[in-house]
Order: sequence, then structure tokens, then C-alpha cells
Amino acid sequence: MNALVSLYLTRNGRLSRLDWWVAILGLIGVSVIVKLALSVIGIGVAPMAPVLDPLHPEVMLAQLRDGSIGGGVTLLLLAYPGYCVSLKRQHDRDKSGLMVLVLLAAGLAALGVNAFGPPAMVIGEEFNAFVMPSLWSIATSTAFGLYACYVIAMLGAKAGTEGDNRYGPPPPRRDWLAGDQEQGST
Amino acid sequence: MNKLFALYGSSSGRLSRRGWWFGILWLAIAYTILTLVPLIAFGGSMWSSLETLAEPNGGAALGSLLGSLYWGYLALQAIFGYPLYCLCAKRRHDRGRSGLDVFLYLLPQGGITLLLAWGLGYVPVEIGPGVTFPVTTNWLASILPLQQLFLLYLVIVLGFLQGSPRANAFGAVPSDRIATITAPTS
Repeated sequence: MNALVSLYLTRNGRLSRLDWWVAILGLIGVSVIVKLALSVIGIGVAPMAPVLDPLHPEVMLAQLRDGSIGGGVTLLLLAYPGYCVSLKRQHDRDKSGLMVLVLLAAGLAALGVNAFGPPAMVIGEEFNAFVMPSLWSIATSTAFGLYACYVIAMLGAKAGTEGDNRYGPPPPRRDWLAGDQEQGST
Repeated sequence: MNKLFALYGSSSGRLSRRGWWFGILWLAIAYTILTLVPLIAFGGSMWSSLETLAEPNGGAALGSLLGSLYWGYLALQAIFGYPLYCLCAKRRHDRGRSGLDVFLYLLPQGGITLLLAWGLGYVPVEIGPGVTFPVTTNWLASILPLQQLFLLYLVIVLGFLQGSPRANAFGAVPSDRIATITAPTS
């Protein structure tokens, strides 16, 4: 429990690449659960809504908006743990957390444009219909996606600095998949 | 009989990777044989309900039939859940861990099947003039990838990763012979 708190809720120290990936995978799993829980209480796409409704594109249109609202609220709820984890990874590279804050803001902006910006259009009819997001949605989502790729590459692939830096000593190497070596024969 | 109980009826002790794979193999064979029961019971009406898809409300009939199939599936899970847990928990013990993650996988698995059996996984959607088809609901579509990721993790830690090289809290190092279970030293 303590390990989880120090991983997700503290902003001091440094984090290795492997620890960062494990923490982010955990957050992705939690975000699915959170988004689902929100949808049960009415925020986001209804849990019992069908994923596809080819004859009613206007339903899909509404789902696109509701989904963005649900995604935005989930992002807000999990922003702090995500920030803590990524900030410590940036510390490992002897950098500040500015890049992470910009990414969070860009994500919220993209979801906000999807939810409250110009509406998507339905092009065509019935079976030949498809939902076309507004140009603003496409632009902000693409910009966010590209920037997210850059940030993930920096945080997930770039090695930390050798030895001590401004933020402390290098993070311990933790082998998440190794068997328990500590409990010797008794 | 005693060996069978040690493998499938008790969660104490340690089990090697080889023992785990063979334990899974026997379970899978028994499971496949038992799966034929609901398929034979409902399979025939499944085909005939496919033929009625084009009729009004045909998709709803197929949906309710899926529900009956899932009740059979739930019964199978209830039968196989405990032996599977015992088998996997011992393999987790081999690495010095508790069987908690296996439990955390199996429990929601049963819950999801229960929801599916209640008919909450699919809704009939109109896909053409007067033609309906059961379409996956939003909650199921968001939960399934998560479940599959969890399964992937479990297969890696249960089937491929080495156990503790020395005796641990759950017993001595198990031999690589099939289904040799070492008991905790008390």
C-alpha cells in the first residue's frame, strides 16, 4: 500500500523507465474502471448503449460527445497520479515537469473541443452514413496525439542521468517480474 | 486420488512450471468435454434462431439464446473456478507470491459471465429494415481488453517465469516432475 502511495502520490525523487511503464499500465487499467464507473452514474456513454448503431448515426454522434465528456472527467480524476509518476521520470532525466503539464492541458483541450466544440457531422444516409468530426476536433486531437507520442518516447525510452542530479540519487533498479529472492530457507 | 486433490483441491504448497502446464492441460481437456453439454443442449436452437434473424424481433431471440448459453458457461466456471485457483495459487507460491492476483482475475470473470447471462452484454440493434442483431454493449467492449491484458500477465507469471531458487514461505523448491507439490514447512 505504501509503495502505491509513494509511486502515485508523491512528487519527490526519481523513477526508472521500467517503473514508469508499469505505473502507466496500471493507470490505464484504472482509467477503464473509472470511466465505466462514471458511465454508470450518468457521465459518459451509457454502459448499456450498443457500440454500433448503423441506422442511427445521430446516436453515434451523441456518443462521441458523451464519450469525450467521460474521458475528460476521467483524465481530471487521474491527472494527479499521472502527473506524479511522469514528473518523477522527468526528474530522472534532470528535467522539470513542464512537459507533463503541457501534455495534460493539451489532452483536456482536445477532449473539451470534442465535447463542447463545433458538432460532428453525419455524412450520407443510413448504411452509407459515417460520422465526421469537426475540423477543430481533428486538428486538436491530431496535435495532442503527436505531442503525446513525443512525450511517451521521451519518458518511456530516454535513459535517466548517470549518478546524482538535482533531484536526488538514481532510482533503484526494480525487477518487477523476478521471483521472490528475499525469503531464504528458514 | 490424493495426488489429484493435492493438485486441484488444495491451494497450499508450491508447483513447478511443468506441473502447472500439465495441470492446465488436464483441466482444459475436462473443460472441453463439459463444454459440449451446453452446446448440444442449445446449439440446435442457436442455428434455428440464426435463421429467424430476418424476421421481426429475430435479434432479440438470438440475444436471449446467448443468455442461456452464458448460464451454461457460468455453471462451467463455477465447477472449474476452484480447481483452477488451487492450481494457479500454488504456482504463484512457487515464486514467493500470494494467489491474490489469480483470485482478482477469476472473481470478476465470474461476475462478467453473470451479467452476460442476465442479458446485459448485448442489445438488439436494428441493422436493416426490420432486421435486428445483438450488438456488444459499451461496458463489455471497454472491459474485455482489460481482462485480456490481465490474462496475458497471468500466463506470463504462471507459465513462464521461474520460481524462487530456494525454499520460501510456501515450501521447498518443487521438483520438475509433473505435479510434485511441496508443502510449507511447519
